[in-house]
Order: sequence, then C-alpha cells, then structure tokens
Amino acid sequence: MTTVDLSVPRSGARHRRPASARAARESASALATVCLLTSLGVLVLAVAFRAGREAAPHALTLFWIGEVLLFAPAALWLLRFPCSRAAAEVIAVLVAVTSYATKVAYSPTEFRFPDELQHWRTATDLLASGNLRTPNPALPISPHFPGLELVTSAVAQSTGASLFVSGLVVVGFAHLLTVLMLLFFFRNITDSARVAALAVIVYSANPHFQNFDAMFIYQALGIALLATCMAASARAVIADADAPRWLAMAVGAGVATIATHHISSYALIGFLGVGLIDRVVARDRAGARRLGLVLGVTAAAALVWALVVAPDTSQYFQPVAEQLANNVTGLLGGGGGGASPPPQNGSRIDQLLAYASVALLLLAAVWGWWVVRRNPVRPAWLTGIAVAAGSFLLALAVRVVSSDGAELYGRAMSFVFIPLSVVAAIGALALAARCEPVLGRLVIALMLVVIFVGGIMTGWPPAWERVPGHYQVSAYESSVEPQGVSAAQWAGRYLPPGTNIAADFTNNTLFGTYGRQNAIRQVAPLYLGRTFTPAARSLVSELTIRYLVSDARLATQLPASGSYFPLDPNSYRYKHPLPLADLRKFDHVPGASRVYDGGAIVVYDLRGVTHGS
Amino acid sequence: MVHNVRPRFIGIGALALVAGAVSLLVDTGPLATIAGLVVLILPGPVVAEALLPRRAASVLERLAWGIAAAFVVTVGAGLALSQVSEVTRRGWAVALTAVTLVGLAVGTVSEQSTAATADPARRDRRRAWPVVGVAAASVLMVVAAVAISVDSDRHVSTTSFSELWMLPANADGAVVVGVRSHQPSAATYRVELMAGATRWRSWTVAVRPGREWQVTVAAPDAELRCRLYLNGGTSPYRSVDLAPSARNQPADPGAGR
Repeated sequence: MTTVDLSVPRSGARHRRPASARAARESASALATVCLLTSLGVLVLAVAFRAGREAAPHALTLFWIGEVLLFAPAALWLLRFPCSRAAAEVIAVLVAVTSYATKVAYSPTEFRFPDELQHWRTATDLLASGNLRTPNPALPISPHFPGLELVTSAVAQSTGASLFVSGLVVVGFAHLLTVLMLLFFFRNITDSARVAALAVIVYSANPHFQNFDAMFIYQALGIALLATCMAASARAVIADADAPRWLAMAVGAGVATIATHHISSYALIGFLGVGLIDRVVARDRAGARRLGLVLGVTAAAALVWALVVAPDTSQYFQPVAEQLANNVTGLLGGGGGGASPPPQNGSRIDQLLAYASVALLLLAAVWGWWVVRRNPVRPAWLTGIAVAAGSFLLALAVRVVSSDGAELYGRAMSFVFIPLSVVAAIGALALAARCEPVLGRLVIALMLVVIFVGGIMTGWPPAWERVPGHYQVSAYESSVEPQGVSAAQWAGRYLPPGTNIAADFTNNTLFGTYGRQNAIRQVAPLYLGRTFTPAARSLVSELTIRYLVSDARLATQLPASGSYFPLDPNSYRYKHPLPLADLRKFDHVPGASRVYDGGAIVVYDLRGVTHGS
Repeated sequence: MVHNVRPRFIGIGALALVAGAVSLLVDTGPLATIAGLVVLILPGPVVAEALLPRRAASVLERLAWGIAAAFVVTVGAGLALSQVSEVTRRGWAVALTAVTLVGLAVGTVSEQSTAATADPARRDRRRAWPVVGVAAASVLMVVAAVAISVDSDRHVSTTSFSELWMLPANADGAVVVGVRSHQPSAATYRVELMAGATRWRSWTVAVRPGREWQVTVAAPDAELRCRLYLNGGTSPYRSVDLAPSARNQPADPGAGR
C-alpha cells in the first residue's frame, strides 16, 4: 500500500483509526464546529469591512480575528482527526466558499481592481460586437485569451443577468473548481485524503488566493482549468480501463487553459513536463505515455495559439523580462539588483510576519521533501511535484533581485504554491507526528497560521486598503468611487471612442475602461511642473493626445501605491502631494479648452494646443 | 439496462431541445431566463457523465467534473461561435444545445458498454438532519456576510457633486452644454453661457439625482465660457470653456443628439 500519510503521532496511533463510533462522532461534531467557526469568520470579516467603510478604529482587529477564524479551525481539525475523502471534500468546499465570500464582501457592488475593469471592457466589447476582434487598449492581450469573457458572456446572454453578476457567478464557480480539482490532484498524487485536505489549506495561504485569484481576471479561470487538467491527468496515469476518458478530459481542459490565460498554460506545461519526467524515471511506461500525450497536445496547442491567435504575447512579457534581465545584470555587475521599494504603510510587524511566513514555509517544505524522498514507495507524480516545489526558491530570488519583485513574487505564488502546498502539508503532518500530540498539534497549527497571516501581508489587498474604506489617491480599489466612474462614463458617452487621452494612475484605468478611451501611460511629464513647457507640448503632439484628465485630489494625499502616474519617474520618491497649481495649469495654456468639470475631475481638450505649436 | 437508460436520456434530450427552442424564440422575461439557465447548465453534467466513469465518485466529485466540463465546452463553443458567426444569445442556444445532445448520444453508447453503478446505500435520514442544520447555519452566515457588505458598500458616504460640460456639436459652431446631477435631492441649476464678454444665453433648470439636462445651441465664433450655479448660489459652482480652435471639430458626431 502506497502512503505518504505520515501524520500518525507516535504515541497516538488511536487518532488514525477511529476504533469506535464515539471517535467517529467526536470527529464529525468537531468538523461541524469547524464549518460554523469558518463561516463565522466570513461574518466577522464582513463586519470588519463595514467598520472600515465607516472608518471605525476596530476594523483591523476584527479583520484579523475573521481571517484567523477562516483558516485555523480547519487546520487544527486536520492535525487532530483522521480525514475521510468526504471530510476532505467538505473542507475544500468550505475553503472555496468562505474565501470567495470574503472577496465578494470586500467589493460587493462593482468591479474595482484595474485588471477586473480591463477584462470587463473586453467582455462588454464582446457583448456589443458579438466577436473578439474589438481591440482593448486598456489590456491589448485580453481579447486574445478570451476564455473568461466567453463564459461570462454565455451566462449574461443566456440568463439576462448583468455583466457584474455574471462575472461573479463565473469566477465563483472557477474558484470552487480550483480548490476541488487541486484536492483531487493532491489526493491522487499522495494517496491520502488528509494530506490532500491540508495541502488545500496550505494552498489557501498563498498571497493571492483569497483576493486576486478570485477576481474577474483571466487567471481566475485559467488556474481552475489548469487544476482540472492536472487532476484529470493524474487520474489518467493511475487509471486502467478508464484512462482514455480521463485523457479526453485532461486534453480538453488543457486546450481551454491555453485559450484562457497565458501564464496558467505555461505553468501547466511545466507541471505536465515534471510529471512526465517523474514517470520516465520511475519506468512507468503507461503513465509516461499518457502524460506525454497530454503534454504534447497542450504544448502544441500553446505554440499554435502563441503564433496564430496571440502573436503579441511575447511583446506583452517583454518589458517584464527586460527589467528582470537588467536587474540580474546589474546585480552580477556589482551594481546591486533592483530591490523592490519598501511596502508603504506596512508596519514592521507586517514585515516580520511575512519573513517568518517564508521561513516556516521553507521549513515545512524541506521537511516534506525529505519525507517524500525517504518514503520507499511514492505515488505517481509526487516526486516530480516535490522537486517542482523548489520553484519557490526561484520566486524568492526574483523577489529579492527584481525591482518589480514583490508583484512578480505574488503573481508566481498562485502557481508555485501548487507543488509547495503538497510538500509543506506532508512536512507539517510529519513534524506534528514527531511532537507530543497536543503541544505538537498546537505548534504546527500556529506555524500554519503564521504562514497564512504572512501570505495575507505579502498579498492583495495591501496594508493601506486591507479593509475597504474611504477614497485614497492612487490606491487601486480605494480610488474607484462615483466621481471618477461618472467622469469616465461621461467620456464614454460624449468623446469619440479610442481617442488618446492623458490621465493619472486611477483615471488611466477608469477612462480606458468605462470611458472606452485609449489611455496613454507615458504622460507624467505633462503634469509635473508649474508651467506647460515646450517639451510637454511636443509630447502631446508626439503621442497625439487629444484630451487630458486632471484630478485635483492628487494634491491632497501622497499616492498610496507610490506612483501618481502609470509610468511615474518619481515613484516612491514623493515627499509632498502634487501642487494643485501644477494639476490645473492647463486652465492657462493657450488653446486648451476645459470641456468637463466634475468638481475634483476636469477634462481638457488639447487639440488647440497642438494646433498652435 | 438499456430500457433504464434511454428514458433518462430522452427526458434530458427533450428538455435541452425545448430550452434551446425557447432561447431561440424568446429574448427577454422569466421564461427566457429559465430556458437560458437550462441551456447553460445541461452541457457540463451531460458531457461529464458521458465522458467519465461513475464508479466510486462522490456526488461532489461528479458535480466538480460537471462544472469543469461546462467551462471547457463553453470556452470551446464560444471560440467556435466567434469564428463561424457571432457570440449571441441565439448562438449560445444552438451551440450549447448541440453539445448537450452530442453528449447524450455519447453517454448512451458509453452507458451500454459499461456496467451501471449500483446506487449507494440509502443513508440514515436521522443522521442527515444535523448535517443539514450545520450546512444551513453556515450558508446563512455566509449570505448574511455578503448582505452586510452590499448594504455597507452602497451606503458608504460619498461627496455630492454635479457635472458640467461643453463640447462642439458640429462644424457650424453649435455647442452642446450639459449638466448631470449627483446631488442627494433634486437641484436647481442656473447655466450661463458667455461668448467673449457677452452673456449669450442663460437657463434655469431643475435636475433630479442621477439625471442630466442637455442643450445644443448656436454660438458666435468667440471664446465660450459656461458657468454653473447651484441652488441660487452667486459664485460659480462649475465652469468650462471652449477655445475657438477646439470648436472646428466636434468631439463626437453623436454629441447633442
């Protein structure tokens, strides 16, 4: 019998096998308590968010109580009781539903994150035109990976529901699917419901699980399809007569992943490749043949997609790759890397917990890797996955080296945590088994809570909008409020679509999505300085900017995200808010017309400016 | 076994056909929504049932594979639709109903070639009640959490504001002046249009929250300034202007219509 469930406490084997109906009842009632406590966690979080919107001082305290309730009870239960397949499924559903409800509670009435609005624009274009040929200047690559928008439009058009509600439904099911398919995958590669359930719990500690990966973005559906392909592939490897059926599902999910999200499809190819090597090394010819088939079809489809449908994919990644290469070159040349800027408003405790989280994850993963390696019989794909967990070290290196490291690290974690959570779960259970039962469980549970809390601290939303609240400057969701949305919608109604427009960080997104304009990113020089210089006039002409958005609120606060503009030369270096006179200098520029006044937001027509040059 | 299988498949097939037909014929209303839901929901479980073995799979596992299959076939159908025609309600009805029918056909063949799974033993209903109670309480708390959030998000305090705009309407020199109110209650605005130093036109209008007022007016070839006064105020609440150079080209041919 193959097993990696090394969670049996040395002095407490009775916990592994419920010898009596009493033990079973105890386990079931404890699981019921877990369900209630976890659901209570969502309720506490909703109250915390309400308190945040009302600027109540106890909002953050409630937030952390809610988050710990969301995570700790299930982790403690798994460390204490044996886990059946049904119980593992209950825990997985609980994790998926409560985490998604938390995301919905954070932003329950509209999409607010820039990426969500960009995909919203692609979806509205699809609904309006009936095809995928409408370019989306806000995120040009989005119509080339249209899986999410297609499914959302199917729901919206078939039921008559709004795009927002349809998007919530689609992403909600995708989130549930991600968790369930990861559970099935983990169960197949470990032969243990308990390890699989704990791995799901650890996966939920990844920095982007609760919020970013549950947004209306293509990655949300991409990961769900990736997990489906992996779960079906794992079943195909171990199945006998049913292998062709699982292979059909795996191939279908693999191709759908490619049509949905670029990074998810590349991660999928990587995981399938690891699985194939694992089977080749294990001399499992049937398993290798099956995984090779899924990998071959998926890789070929990804190549065709990149060449024929989405040839701009490499261009999309080019800036990130170049920046990373520059940072590495700088580091090797002795000039230092491009270490990420310090998190704004993040306390020292935040940073300490984030470091502790990484250290504990590494400890659990290394221990788990050692357990897997020591185990004489390993289920298919497990060794490969354990090796793939080493990608965590690579992500950490990118975090340290790249100037964009914090974002790249967070984004990578959605994928790196798939192998990492398995080995960390094995490690955590093995560590618990080595300790004294009660104390050991508590220590390991505390360790998992620190990993979870550290994930929240390094993930999304950042410290300055951990609970939703009032308007902040350049603060992603916290900057999206009625004045900005209404101004952008005005542009959508009255300005020609696709006109080049200059705007700050937040209005760039709003005018590029609600406003249907082509919001230009290199516009910071237009705003900085008291006078409208000849260089600024040349920039307007060169970039054929027709309209400019000026938001007076930029003069009231420092930017929460560190930048006032999409490409800001002074990022993280601002000591004072921008002077109002700089933002409103266009009132005095000959040829500029002030065509819209919404109070804080003013729109200028710059066509007369370039005519005069 | 064939006799047991066919009625189920025929029933689902008939349901798919009726829902597909209603979706093609009815565009709005509750009937259209219900038919659309059926069209949308059927393909996933049908394809999953046809494709995957039923042995030893829990209800949740089958549900999960059904959702997965639904995503896969919807993405595939959407890509096909966008290539051969348009992604529309009718297109989805045809494509997804076809997927359901093909899935049923494959499922019929598949069921006949594999052994049927015995129904799981009936559970003790008395034992199920506490489970239902816990599940209901959990669902209630999650629903309450979302309800609290929706309520607080809608009532988060926001600044009252109004919007004023002026855009060239056509190449003949006419301009569009508009006002949109986001005041908590109906507001009275005075709108003054100045051509150079001359007061050209003036309007007093009442606008309800969320509504807009707009007028297209011919104006002389001079710099235009427009001022908005709120609720009898004497100092301008909003102001816009239009340089002569910006009046040559309308911002949007549709503006002012």
